[in-house]
Amino acid sequence: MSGEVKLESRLNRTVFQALPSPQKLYVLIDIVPTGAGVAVQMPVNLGLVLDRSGSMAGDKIRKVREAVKLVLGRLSPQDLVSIVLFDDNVDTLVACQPVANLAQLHAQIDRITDRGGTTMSKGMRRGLDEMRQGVTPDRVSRMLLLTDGETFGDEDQCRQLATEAGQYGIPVSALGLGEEWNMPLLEAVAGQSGGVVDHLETPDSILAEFQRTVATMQGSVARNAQLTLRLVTGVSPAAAWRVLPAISQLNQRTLSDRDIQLILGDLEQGKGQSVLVEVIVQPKAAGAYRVAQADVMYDMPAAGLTGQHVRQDILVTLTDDPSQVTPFVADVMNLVEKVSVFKLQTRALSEAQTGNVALATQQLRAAATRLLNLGEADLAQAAEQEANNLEQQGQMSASGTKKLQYGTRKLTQRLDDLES
Amino acid sequence: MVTCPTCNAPNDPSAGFCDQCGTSLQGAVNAPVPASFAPPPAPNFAVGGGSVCPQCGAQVIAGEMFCENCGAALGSLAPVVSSGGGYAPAPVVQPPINQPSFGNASAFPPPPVSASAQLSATDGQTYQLSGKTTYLLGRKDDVSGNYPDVDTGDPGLQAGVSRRHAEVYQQGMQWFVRDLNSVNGTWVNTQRLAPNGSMPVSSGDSIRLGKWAATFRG
Repeated sequence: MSGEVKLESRLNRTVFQALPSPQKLYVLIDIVPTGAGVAVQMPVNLGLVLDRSGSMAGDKIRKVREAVKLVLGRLSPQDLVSIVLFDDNVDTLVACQPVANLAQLHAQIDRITDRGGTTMSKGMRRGLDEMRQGVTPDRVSRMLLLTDGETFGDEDQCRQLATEAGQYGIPVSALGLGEEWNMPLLEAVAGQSGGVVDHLETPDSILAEFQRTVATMQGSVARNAQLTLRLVTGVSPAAAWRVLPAISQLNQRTLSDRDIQLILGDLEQGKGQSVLVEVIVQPKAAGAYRVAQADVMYDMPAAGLTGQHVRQDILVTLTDDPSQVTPFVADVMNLVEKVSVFKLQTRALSEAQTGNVALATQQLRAAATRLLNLGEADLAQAAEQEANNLEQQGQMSASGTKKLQYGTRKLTQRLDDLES
Repeated sequence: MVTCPTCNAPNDPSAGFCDQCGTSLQGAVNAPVPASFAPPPAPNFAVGGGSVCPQCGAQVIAGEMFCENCGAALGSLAPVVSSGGGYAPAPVVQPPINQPSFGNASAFPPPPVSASAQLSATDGQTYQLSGKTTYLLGRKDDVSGNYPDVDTGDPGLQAGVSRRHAEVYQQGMQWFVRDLNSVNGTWVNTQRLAPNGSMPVSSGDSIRLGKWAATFRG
C-alpha cells in the first residue's frame, strides 16, 4: 500500500451517550485519491450516442453540435472517440478512432441534423459495438447517451444493452433533455451499466454537462474501487448513500453477517467520493469501541497497481455521563439532512405512484420545509408546488418530478463543481 | 494471541480493538479478565427503544435524525442530555438593537414604537425582543447561513425546532406568532397553528416550537 488513496471517517458525534436501547449512528467516509505517485492521465474511450429525432430540431441540435466540438477539443490523440446518431434508424457518424484530425471531425459533426422518430436501442447497440473496440484496463470508457424523448417499444432491449455495457466496463451517462424523456428507463440504463443520469432543463446545459462528463473521465485515477465495512458484533448496517459527487443510494452486497461491500467504481483525482452509512448499534457499556473497519480496494492502472488496499478503524466512544456527550458534527449533520431530503422526495414519488396521496403530500411538504432551511428556495418551491399538484390533481407534474429528483441529488455538490 | 476481555474472542497481539465485538484491547495482554469488564447488558428493547415519531406515529430508533416515514425532524428523540451540562452551548445573548428615533418633524406619523417583549424559555434562556417589529425564531446554522433573532441553540435542535420555525411580530400594539410551515409545529398555549398560520399572543401565553417552550411577556 503506498497511500495513493486517502480514507477518512467521521461520526455524527465523537462521544455518544451509552443508551439502554439500540441507537442509530451516521458514519461519513471520504475516499479521495491524493495524487501521490500519479501524474499520468489515463486515456479515455468516449462514445457519444445522440438522439437526432425530429423533436431535437433547432436550438437543441445546434447546441449538441457545439458541445461535441468543444469536448473533442479537450481530448488528445491518445484518446478514442466514436459518435453514433439515432432516430428510427442509426448512423455511425464517427467510427471509434483516435482524436487526431479535428478539422475532419468538425466537418462530420456539422452533418448532425434532425429527422425521424426515436428508437434508442439501435443507437445504444451501435454505440456499444464501436466502443467495445477501445475498452482496455488502462483506458476510462464511458458512453454519453443524450435523448429528449420516449423511445418506442424497445425499452427492454435498452435495459439489456445497459447490462451488456456494464459487463464490458462501459458505464452509461444518460442525459435527459427537457421534460418528455422516460425517467425510469434512463435510471435503469444508468443503474445497470454503473453510470449516472442527469436532467438538462434547457439546451443551454448541454455544453456544460458534456464538459463535466469528459472532465470526470479525465480526472479518474483509481478504478474498480469498492468499500468493505467489517462491522463488529452488535452493529448492523441500515442504509448506505453516496453523498459526493452526488447523492444516490448504494446497493450493498452482503458478504457475511458482518461484512458489507459497496461498489464505488471510478475515483476522481482530488475529489473522490464520500459515503454516508447509517448503522444501528446495540446497547454497550460505556467505553471506546471499534464500530467497524473500513477497507477500500482499488486499481490504479496508470501507476501499474492493482488490488491496492487502504484501511481505517471507525471508532466510537460511549459515555454514561451526559455532560461528556459531544455536540453534533455540523458538516456530517448537514449531509445527513440533505440525504433525508433526497429520501423524502424519492419516497413521495413512489407513494404517489401507489396512490397514497396523503402521505406523499406530507412527505413533499416536509421536503419543502427542509429545503427552505437549507437555503434552497427554488427546490423548496418546486416541492411545495408538487404537493399542491398532488392534492388538487392527484398527481405530480413531469417537470416538477424531474426537477426535484435531479435537483436534490446535487444538494451536496461542492461549489467548485457548480462553477465549472 | 490476546483474548478479548468482553467476548473472549482470540485476537492478534497487534490488534487495538477486538475484531469480534470492537472492545478496546489496550492493557488486555495476558491479564485475567477483571470483574469490571463484564459483558455489556443484553439488549433491552423495552427500555427507551420504542420511540415513535411525534408527527406520524411511525416507530423510530434513538439517534435517528429524521423520520423515515414522514420526514419529521427527530432531534427531540436523540439522547436526552440534562441541562447545565458541558454539552449545552454558551447562552446566546441577543444584543439590544438601538431604537430608531423618529423625528417629530417627519411628514409621516411615526409608527407605534414597539414596546419590547421577552421570551423566557423553559431551558432557562431569556430572549429580549426589542428594536424590530418581526423576530425570526429558529436555530442558528452556520452551514446554511441561517441566523434567527431568537436562536434556540442545541436545546432547540434536541426539541425539534426548525431553523426557520416561526416568527413573532407586532401589528399596532398587538403581538402575533406565525408558524413558518415548520415540521414539528407551533403552539400558542394548547392551540396548534396551521402551517403558515398566525395567532395573537398576550403576556403570559406559552409559545411552543416542537418540544421547545417559552413564556411570552409583552
